Amino acid sequence: MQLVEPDSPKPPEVVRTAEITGWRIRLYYWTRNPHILIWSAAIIIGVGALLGWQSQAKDPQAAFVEMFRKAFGFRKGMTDEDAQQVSLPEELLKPAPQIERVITALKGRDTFDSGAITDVTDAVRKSRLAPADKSLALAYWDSLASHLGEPGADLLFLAIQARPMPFANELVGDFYITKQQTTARALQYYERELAVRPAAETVRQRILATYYQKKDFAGLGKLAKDPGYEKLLTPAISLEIAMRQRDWAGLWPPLLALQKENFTQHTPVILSCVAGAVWLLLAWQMGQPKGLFSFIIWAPLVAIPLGAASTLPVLFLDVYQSESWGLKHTGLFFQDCLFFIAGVGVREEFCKLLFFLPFVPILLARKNRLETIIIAGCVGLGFAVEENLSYFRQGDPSSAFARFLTANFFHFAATGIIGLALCDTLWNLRGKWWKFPATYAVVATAHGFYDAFLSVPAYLFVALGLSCFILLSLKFFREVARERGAATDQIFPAATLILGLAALVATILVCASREYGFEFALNAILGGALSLIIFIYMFYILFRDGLQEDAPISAPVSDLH
Amino acid sequence: MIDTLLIALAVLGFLAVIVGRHMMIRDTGGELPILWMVALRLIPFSELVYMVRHYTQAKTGGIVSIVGMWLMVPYAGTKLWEAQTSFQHRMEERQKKMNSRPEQTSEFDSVDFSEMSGEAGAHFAMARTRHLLEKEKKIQQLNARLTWWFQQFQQRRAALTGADEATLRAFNADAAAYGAFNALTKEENAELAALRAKH
Repeated sequence: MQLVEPDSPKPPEVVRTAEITGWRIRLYYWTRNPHILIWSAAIIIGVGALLGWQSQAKDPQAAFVEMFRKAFGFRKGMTDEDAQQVSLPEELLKPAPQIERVITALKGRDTFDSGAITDVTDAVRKSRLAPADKSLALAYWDSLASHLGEPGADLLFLAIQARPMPFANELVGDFYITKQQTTARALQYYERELAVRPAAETVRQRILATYYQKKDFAGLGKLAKDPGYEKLLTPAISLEIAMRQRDWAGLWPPLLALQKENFTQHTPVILSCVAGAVWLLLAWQMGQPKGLFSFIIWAPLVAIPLGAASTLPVLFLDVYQSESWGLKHTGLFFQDCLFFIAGVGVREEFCKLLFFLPFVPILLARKNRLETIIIAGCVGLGFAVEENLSYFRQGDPSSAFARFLTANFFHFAATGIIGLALCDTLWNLRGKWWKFPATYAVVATAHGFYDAFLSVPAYLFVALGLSCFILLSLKFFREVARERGAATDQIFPAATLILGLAALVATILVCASREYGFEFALNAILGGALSLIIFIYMFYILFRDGLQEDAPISAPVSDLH
Repeated sequence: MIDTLLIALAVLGFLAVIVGRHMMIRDTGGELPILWMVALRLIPFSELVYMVRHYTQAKTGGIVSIVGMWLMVPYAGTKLWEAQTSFQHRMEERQKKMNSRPEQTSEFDSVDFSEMSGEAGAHFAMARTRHLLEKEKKIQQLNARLTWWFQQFQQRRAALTGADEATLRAFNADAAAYGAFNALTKEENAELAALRAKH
């Protein structure tokens, strides 16, 4: 096209045959080309699969053992000694065998073959163990070989002495702890062992485990004050002790420790951050930033950490409401509806809103509804990212995929809508005073119903849960579409979603393979594929048509196919 | 009465779901592909996906369908709650039974040999006999240890005259340990007697 002088009487000449090129134009078309999108996603996932295959765990079982130990055990060290495979012959042939290792080795020996029993007895007798240790090892071996499931006479005799041998009382306690009716007796022997070996952590761990099994939280509370026991308690156990004793101030340290623990494992942090980053990119795109230094680019970077911090008061309220008001998950439909609506929905939306408040004065001054909904949404996104960390840590990586599409967007949309309603009310307090309380009540209730119904494995409830999700999503997209300018997106938002999803799948494949093996990672992805395809389709449509108010969404149906 | 009301609401809701889905098809002006028409009539969740895709056209039908589903919730929820409550009661009953069982002295106490087949019964009877023999052996050893310890004490007691405080303290500590061992041996003897009575 030829440029024409402004004062020229000739109108500009339009050359329609000339090709308009440039990387921006190409980017526009490429991101709207389904073939390019599908192949790009396939390449990203393929690279992820290849890296995952190459870096897969050599011993996936160890990761599962560690996962279960974390889920059910106390601090590390409780089962380490038991898990070690000590060779008895090797230990006994040493110039100075250690009684602790000999005992561990004896636990793993065959006690049903009479020949083997005699061999072990002879080997212990002939070993270079100290005479006292030798008598202890033999007494323990006799107890094991008797199959009575209780300590033998010699072991009891050694344990009950005024100055008992180290380990004798612990071994007696180990026999008694296995039966419910003798746990009190086991505790007495463990206490005696601690008098001989105050540094015996395994004994303290067994005492804690016994109290916990008995649900004796008053006893655990007393033990928790002893520095010897305090360091052995996991934050989850400390939290339960404080909760059961209604020590509300005492809840904060374990809650903080739990939050810190969320960041200690690489895989959940990586997955959660990738999932959060994709939604942040989408939020930026929705916000139509004018440049790198615009408010909409930088404010979400503050909003997300604030949102992440809002999980802490939510956890506190969760514990408080559960213990003080009896608002807990019971597995009974109506009680759970009350728990999710009056408990989960209200407290989560309240805490997120609380952490959105610092932005309110700035947003009120800027009077920009699009910025308001995006920044409030980013507070919700931060909350979801932090919450996902706990879920990823407790569950397997497949949950990352599901929560990426559901939880991240749900919190983003819910907080966005409530935040916007708050600012709308404050902008026009006389005319729209009702908007914020009404919106808050509706969104918190929808949140509660969504959580309550999705956990019921019946079509009706799942469909209604999803309808809460969909109506909330549509409301959010319509608010965003109303405020967005007429400018077309350079990069198609649906392309960001598809490529972001592909990046997340690739990350899951690499991270899960490194920890649990490639086969597990693949199964984790394929496991919930069907339900997730529905979500991906819905989001694709929402990002394709939902971000512009006019043409696509109201076009004749035939044009949209 | 309430049951009838809930059922009536659920039926009304079911009809509303069907009507809502029909309205979604109708409101598109007959331009809907055949696959969507079939899906909207038969496939679960299809109305939700369709509503996302064609919100403006499908809004009224979709909302009627959702309202219909809500009308079914009281009935479905009550049935679900009844099933859950009944299951919970059964579990609590079972737990109560487990807790009210008398304390077992060995794993053979709860075994009813009369209900077992010949071979299994013989196997368990043998195992119980072996258990009893082991327990008897243990008690013999305990008694022997106790007797030996008692004799040791008698000798030490005779030599205590004029002993210093530390020796006396050590003797008393050992005496307390002996007392505990004595009590334990008595308990074990009682357990053996109970086992023999059951055998």
